[in-house]
Amino acid sequence: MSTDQSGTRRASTEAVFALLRTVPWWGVIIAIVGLVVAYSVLTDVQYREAIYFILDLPWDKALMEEIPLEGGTWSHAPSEDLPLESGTYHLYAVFYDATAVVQEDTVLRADPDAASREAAQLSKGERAKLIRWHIIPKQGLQMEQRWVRVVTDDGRVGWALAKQFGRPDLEEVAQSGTYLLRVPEGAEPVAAEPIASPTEGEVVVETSTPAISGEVLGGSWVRIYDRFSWSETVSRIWLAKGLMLTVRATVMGYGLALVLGLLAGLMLVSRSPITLAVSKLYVEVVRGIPLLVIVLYAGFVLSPYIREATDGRIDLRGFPGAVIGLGFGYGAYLAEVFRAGIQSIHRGQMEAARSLGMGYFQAMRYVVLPQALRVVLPPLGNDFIAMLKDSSLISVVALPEILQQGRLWVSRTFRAFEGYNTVALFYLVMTLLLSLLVRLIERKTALPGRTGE
Amino acid sequence: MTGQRRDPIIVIKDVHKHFGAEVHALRGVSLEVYPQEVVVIIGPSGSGKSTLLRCINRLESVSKGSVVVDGMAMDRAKNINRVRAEVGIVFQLFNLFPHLTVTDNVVLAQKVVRRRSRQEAEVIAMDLLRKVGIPEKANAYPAQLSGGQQQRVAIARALAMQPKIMLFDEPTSALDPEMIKEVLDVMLELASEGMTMVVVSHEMGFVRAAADRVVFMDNGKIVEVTTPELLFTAPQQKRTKRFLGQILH
Repeated sequence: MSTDQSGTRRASTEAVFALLRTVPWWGVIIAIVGLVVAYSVLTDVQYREAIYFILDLPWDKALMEEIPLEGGTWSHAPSEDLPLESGTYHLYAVFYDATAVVQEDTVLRADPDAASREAAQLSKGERAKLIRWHIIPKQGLQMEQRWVRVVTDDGRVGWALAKQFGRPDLEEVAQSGTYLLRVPEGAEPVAAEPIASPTEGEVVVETSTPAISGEVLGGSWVRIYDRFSWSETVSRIWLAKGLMLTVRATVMGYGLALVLGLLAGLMLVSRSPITLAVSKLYVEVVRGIPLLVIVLYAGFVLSPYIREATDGRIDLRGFPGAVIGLGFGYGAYLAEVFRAGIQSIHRGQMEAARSLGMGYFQAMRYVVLPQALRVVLPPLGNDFIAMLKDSSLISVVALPEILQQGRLWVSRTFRAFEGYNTVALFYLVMTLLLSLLVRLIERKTALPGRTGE
Repeated sequence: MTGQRRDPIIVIKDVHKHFGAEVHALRGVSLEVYPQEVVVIIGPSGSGKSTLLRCINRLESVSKGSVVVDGMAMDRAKNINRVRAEVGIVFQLFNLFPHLTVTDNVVLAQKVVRRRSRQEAEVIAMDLLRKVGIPEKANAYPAQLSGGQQQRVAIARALAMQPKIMLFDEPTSALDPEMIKEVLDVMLELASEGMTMVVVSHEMGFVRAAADRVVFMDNGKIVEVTTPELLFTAPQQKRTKRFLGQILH
């Protein structure tokens, strides 16, 4: 009996193993990601804000201001400290319903005043709609007090301190029309009468602090946006912080590393003692220094020096310096990859090409390198993925790439779990896509009759 | 011995070749090859046959002595690529370009070195592939061909440069026996067309059928230069006799 049972158990274990073997490698990753997502959903963790923040969304519009509503109209004017730059603006207002979770048991008051009559009670964990704000300015040492008028689904109404609530979830209820404004060159920040309603066509204003206002179409919260044209949107996606900055730094840094690596790799296999010495020096020195130190050198030594030496005409501070640091650092690794690839090609290939009358560089270009590149494709892909991850180092020169944005978001919201999960997931998704891409290229460039086809 | 009255096209004069300090691969070799002549070099392994052949198109530099090909000295760097285009070589291991199709293998150097247009080069390539008997493999990759087919492509590739001289470095020794014939047939056809050929090979059938002169080398020196008839019937040197006794059963 018992042998029978263990036999069945073994058979079922084998069946499970057989099933597992049919799961592709990326299936395992998706399962892990799925578990994290499932856990997050079950424990009511919100990723949307973190994802928005790290993607630097929105790309098609800029948030000009976010204000609670009071009464039947809303208005907005840029402060004199932050006037609008000259140009055309497509401003519009979006109205939201704001609901928030009560953080602790709260007494609702009849008026925005802690001493006023008790109107109702809320308990911790309930959801309530925030419909109006009242801000009591600073008095003496006291901080300003934000009061919020609250309505629950079952009809309890009253005022409470805003800090009793978590960050509200916004649900869009209405949008205003577009206010097309043009601020001319050289406009001064002068207070002006508000422009009162959605306007067809362009309104040229004489001030760089134009005020707009309108009727409330619903909700309890308004956001004023500037909508971008299609071309502006594209350029903003490319220039966005967070994810796109990481992509940009990685792509450009890797491009530079490929050029440097190929050059140094060719020098490493050359017979000239000078080029050999130069390339060896580069590879050994750069490989021996942490990439972080190289990025710091590029950002805080090289870039300021070049700026000074050229009287500020060439300014590599910030992004260009970081890209140079990444590319220079990885070029040393790629040089070794290219060298190994070139040396893996049989000597007879170079001889055959030379014996046909090709020069050294022609033979390299047409015969050796095309074969060597196929050999080094996997390690090149490997280093590309490694560089994608190492691009997080450029946060040390204050560039807002994924990790930096994630940390900023965590420090604002104190939600480390969601913040770093989001950062990790972004990296994971990108590296997975990259390794799929590398496999695809490998398959496309494979030679027939070589790899069991 | 054809063409003896003309000037030699290859003049090798007292050539020495060292590999490092210990190996002395060629010890004072002199040889002249005349236009349209077929010279076969035989000898035991390590005797310097291949090294001598590779010195002719400067795949190996010479340590001492001189090699003049078609009137151009091979110690002048600027001559090398020009001479190499005039001297085709076929290797033991074919050395086809595995990343290119058969046609592109034959086309590449025509385009890069001879600066022919792609169409022109492809026409020449197809003619040559027909000549070596594998036009149907024009779009295959080297790894999809048999050894004999690969070696024939290699011959076509060298011929595409329209060389004055063809060097063969043991072209059949990496082939299965049944493939040797198809390669030798192509070589015999070339010889009958009057191509100047220097061949390192132990294919005695080829020696008998095509060689004008046979050079026997041993230990980095030329032991004997003779004709095929004399080689098989009356070798002059003992060393030659011993060698032939070992390879001819």
